[in-house]
Amino acid sequence: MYVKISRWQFFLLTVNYILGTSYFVIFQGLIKQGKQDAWLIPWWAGAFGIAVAFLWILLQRLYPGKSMAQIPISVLGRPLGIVISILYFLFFCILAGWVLRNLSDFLNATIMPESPMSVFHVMFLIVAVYTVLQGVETIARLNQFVTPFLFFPFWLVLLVAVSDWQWYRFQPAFQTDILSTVINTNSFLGFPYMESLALMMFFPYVKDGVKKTFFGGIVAASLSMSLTLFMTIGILGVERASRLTYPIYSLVQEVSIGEELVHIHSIISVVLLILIFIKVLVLVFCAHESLDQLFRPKTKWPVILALLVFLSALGSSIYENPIQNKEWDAKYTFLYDFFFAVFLPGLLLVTTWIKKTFKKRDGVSAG
Amino acid sequence: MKERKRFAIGKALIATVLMSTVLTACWDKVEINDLALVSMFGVDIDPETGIKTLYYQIINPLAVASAKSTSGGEQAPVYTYKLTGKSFGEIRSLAYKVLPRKLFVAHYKAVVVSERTAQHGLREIINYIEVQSTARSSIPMLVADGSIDKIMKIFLPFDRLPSDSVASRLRLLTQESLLMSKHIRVKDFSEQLYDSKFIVMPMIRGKSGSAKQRSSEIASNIDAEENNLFISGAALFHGDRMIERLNDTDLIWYHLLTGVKGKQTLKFQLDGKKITLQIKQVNYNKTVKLNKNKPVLTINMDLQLSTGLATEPIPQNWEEVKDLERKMKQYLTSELNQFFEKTSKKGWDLLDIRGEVKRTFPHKAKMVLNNSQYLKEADVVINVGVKFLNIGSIIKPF
Repeated sequence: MYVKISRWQFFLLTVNYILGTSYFVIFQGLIKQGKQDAWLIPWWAGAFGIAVAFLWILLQRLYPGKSMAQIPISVLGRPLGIVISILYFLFFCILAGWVLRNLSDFLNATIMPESPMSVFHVMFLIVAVYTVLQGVETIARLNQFVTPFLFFPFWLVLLVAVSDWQWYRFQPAFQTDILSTVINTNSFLGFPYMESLALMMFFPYVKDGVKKTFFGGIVAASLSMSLTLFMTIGILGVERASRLTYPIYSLVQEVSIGEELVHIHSIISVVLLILIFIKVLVLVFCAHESLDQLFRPKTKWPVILALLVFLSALGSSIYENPIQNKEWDAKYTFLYDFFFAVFLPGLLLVTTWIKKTFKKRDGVSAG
Repeated sequence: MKERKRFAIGKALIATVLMSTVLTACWDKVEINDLALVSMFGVDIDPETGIKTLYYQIINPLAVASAKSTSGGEQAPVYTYKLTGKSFGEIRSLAYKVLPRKLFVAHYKAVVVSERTAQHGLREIINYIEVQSTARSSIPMLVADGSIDKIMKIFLPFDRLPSDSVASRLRLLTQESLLMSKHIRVKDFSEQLYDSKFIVMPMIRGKSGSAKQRSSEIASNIDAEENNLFISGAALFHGDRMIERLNDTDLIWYHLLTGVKGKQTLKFQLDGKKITLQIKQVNYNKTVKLNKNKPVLTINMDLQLSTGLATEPIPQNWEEVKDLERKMKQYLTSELNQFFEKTSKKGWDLLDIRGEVKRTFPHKAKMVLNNSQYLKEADVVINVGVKFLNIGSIIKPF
């Protein structure tokens, strides 16, 4: 791998990927479950994310320079390994479909109710696919370039909204039954933490120190989510925030600076859209990269065009309505992500150890 | 080489054409002239039939800029559409039977609900406002004192748009008096719904002169009393229902006891002497303790006094200042205690003792609050600190 991205670029990519759709898809549910202590949830979920990421790092160390699409082939051989790699390709595609659908749901529900959802999917995918074709460096640079435009406006509008802050909204503090909250918010461990497995596709491209950077990214994203939850509770209160579909959007919608400057929620919409785009971009890269590494096609455009059509269709049909999505999230997200993020990497790891043990034994007996 | 160039141009053209077909703005394109900009809306629900009536006060853009339009003579600054139906959503879709433009609710500045609707419960209205993605919940809500129809169909002096006038008066009353707090917004109401707290919303009354009004006639009429809207007292809500009206005096004590940082000028009678004083709350805190499982609520407040608008004799030396402060402290403490006793006898937990206990003693709250007499048995200690600070432009009245 000749192309390299810096640790800082990978750090930003990790943070933005994890934040991606999290800000508007799961906040309402987290506040509903964790109530006034919901801001603590990203702490333990982040710790879980780091623990799972440790597993991936372990795997990556055994196969340096190889991505998640190549490792299964190295471990299990081509026929079986390719099946696992294709499973990962589908995993990335399904995630991309989900993100695209979340995006069109958000836009249809807030600022563009008349536009067909496929239009959003195709528009985002055209730009994402074009960027992916330019290579991993372009993705990293693009993300690095847009991050200040996300960071400053986002925190600025939240800070403006603190005029409605009430401390009593956090009382009684630290009354959460941690075990039941962990159980009820288990989907949060899957999405976004276990889904950050997609970033393993970037590991071979990162200059030395991927482990610390990746962990740092998870910690930063968790702190960011915790602080945003904290502010949402302090400004909106538990009751309202747990009933609104998009609490952060509503929070900013109600901000007014003086009597004249109102309706600044377009700022938050743009910030969220760019964040979602980053997530789509990463997932399209992962899907394309896995196909590319598996089959090494000579001409790339038919693959990328097919991917565009496939992902766009997937986005429209991934679920029928937000209620179904919510139910899937509550019931299956954890198990589904666990299979890809823990079970399969664990299986690959164990197989590698077994292979090594046998090799050693064979080596000893042969010697 | 030539062919390759043509191919590249062809690709670029195809890409451009493809992209132009999916420009999202085409679907959600909105022309400002096609919108019915709602500036204020009113709601009335018949408690017996459940039939809902929505009043949309829609801005006439031609008339807002100037009193006279270029063509067609004088135009009203707003038009009020009255729509009825079985549900708010249904009304919204039937609106276009009479409304030639697309309803746009993002810019409304106030909501008025009829008194009978307030007494029956506002939950459905709150849900209707919150469910609309373009509607904001940060706008004030008022209860109609009298006919909502009249309130929604009245032109006002000064402001071309009645909603501007109402919003401006609410803002000024919040800044300049203790008759209003800033927590009169739809979102304040929806937040307290599930805690069954008590909340106060302002009331509004309309007074119109002649049956048919012209906005220019009102603008040229010197008598501002004749056609106007009046903020008159407030409605007390428990949960989503209005249970009582509060008068101005009640509102002052209520806002002082709930920590509203406002100011109010009042004429006091202290030991037979009358004096006009401005009181301003500068510090406030509220704590709750349990004494044998009975709540003890302590309220500490610091007030500043000013004789800025006093026409009566004002203190002339240190002793008189201290005397005034002492008497005011006694007077205010007594009035605030009386107000608390009066309201707790009626079962109104206006100081949110229930909420304070739940927040401070989450494990004992159930036991304490299960006692139906918790409010009557609660001890409330009100500590008022008074400091005389400012005088007006005359140090001794003529």
